[in-house]
Amino acid sequence: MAEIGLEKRSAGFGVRLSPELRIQLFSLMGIWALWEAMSQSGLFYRDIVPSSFKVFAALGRHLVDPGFYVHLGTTAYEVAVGFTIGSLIGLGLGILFGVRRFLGRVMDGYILALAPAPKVIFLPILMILFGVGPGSKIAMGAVSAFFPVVLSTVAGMLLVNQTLVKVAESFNTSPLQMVTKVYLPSLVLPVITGLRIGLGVAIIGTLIAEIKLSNAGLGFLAIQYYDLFQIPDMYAVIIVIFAIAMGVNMLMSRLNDRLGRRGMPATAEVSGAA
Amino acid sequence: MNTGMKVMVAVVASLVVLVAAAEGAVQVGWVSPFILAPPSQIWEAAVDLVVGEKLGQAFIDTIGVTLIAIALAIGIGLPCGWALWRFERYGRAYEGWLGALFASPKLLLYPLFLVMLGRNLGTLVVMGFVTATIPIMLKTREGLMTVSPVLLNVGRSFNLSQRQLLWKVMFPSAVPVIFTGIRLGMIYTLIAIIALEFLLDFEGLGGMVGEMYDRYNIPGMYAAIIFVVLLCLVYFQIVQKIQSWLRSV
Repeated sequence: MAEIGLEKRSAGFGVRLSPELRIQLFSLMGIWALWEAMSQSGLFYRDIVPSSFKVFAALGRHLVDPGFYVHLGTTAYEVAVGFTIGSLIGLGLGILFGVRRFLGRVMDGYILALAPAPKVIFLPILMILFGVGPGSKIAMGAVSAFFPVVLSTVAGMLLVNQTLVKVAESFNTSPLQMVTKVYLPSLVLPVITGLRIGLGVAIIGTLIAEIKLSNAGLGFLAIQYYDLFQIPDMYAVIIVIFAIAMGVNMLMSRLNDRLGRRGMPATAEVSGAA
Repeated sequence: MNTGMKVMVAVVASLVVLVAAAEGAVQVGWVSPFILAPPSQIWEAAVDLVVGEKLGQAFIDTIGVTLIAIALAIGIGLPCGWALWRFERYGRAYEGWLGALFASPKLLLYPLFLVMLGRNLGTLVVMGFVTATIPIMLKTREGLMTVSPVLLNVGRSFNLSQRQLLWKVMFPSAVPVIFTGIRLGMIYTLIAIIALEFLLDFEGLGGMVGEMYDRYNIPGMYAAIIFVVLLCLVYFQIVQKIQSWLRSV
């Protein structure tokens, strides 16, 4: 700690880095150095800990290879379709369960019973139903996304300001108008949270389904490189998967924050006026 | 009859109807038995799994690995969480990383450990450990940071040493927050381990589901999946109960 104090006093001389940033930089360098030392030490069977240069070379090779983008596209397509289906069903059923409370509480029993289980465990059923092709991967993504979205929608429905519902009813709104004009605007925040989590698990679910049994997609690519013992290539694919998953999560968090800041006062305003 | 009872009755009644409909649909031939096993056969398969001790062994394998991983995660996560609190700058520097790692699809890192540790239980334990230890570290730090200053002042007025303050005041008051981390860790770890057992065709409950599918034993597969769902449900409830008990103490 004393060391850091010293650095603080001398901070005026060199480049200004916050102590936290400095710790992060040093840690990254330390991890990298340790990795390189492990890879050079020869203690591990060849390529189990490949030099980072080999991994980055493999990453570069993949990023300029059109074939790689076919796999990326397959996964993106499966995730997108699965997520869309799963979250739309989750959103629709969530609103229905929120409006019809008795039905909602009965269905809660089923949903809460299934929610804690790892969703991959349903993959065999999905493979029987939808085949071993992209169908079962899409279904896996949909099942994964469904649970967080339906749970957060139902929770959000319970918080919808009933005054707004009454006002809308007095204007003789159709059920569709009720959903688009009252429920959805009130649900933005909880649903975005559910969608963020849902997209995350849909990506994991789809990739796991690809790893288990498939012939295309990033999950397939990673596990194929593992089987062929092309470890630097495997690491490169995992890096891409991680970068995409974390990037998507960050984007959704940003969206969440922005809508949260914008959405909240509006809701508060409306409920205050009512 | 109050609404709670009505809901219970409706859940049970709808379950009975669903089971009967599934049985009927397969028996009449509307649904192929290779897609949906009739519940009567699933029941038989379930009894077989229980009587043949296959289920017991799988259960012990899965829970054993899970508990070892969690014990390791607590043993290492708690001191690390303390260190992150004690050395504030490091805590602030690493908090964001740990948070990002917590939200990341860690499960997909498993080929990395598979390569390093080999295709054995070590991979399962390490994956479970990594999954559980991150929320434990984060919540331990948070728990120690949010100890009420009043409690600290009371402790100081009794002239407690730093060490006594930590053990007698800070840790006890941080326990509910710390257990939130342990709870998250416990739930995610069981899920990760069952998923990996399934993916890697290991022993355990996840492996049992995969094995039944590979043998195309459809009733057995459904029975195994139902057991996994039930285990996760009971485990989840137990962990929640411990949490609410800790909060009430």
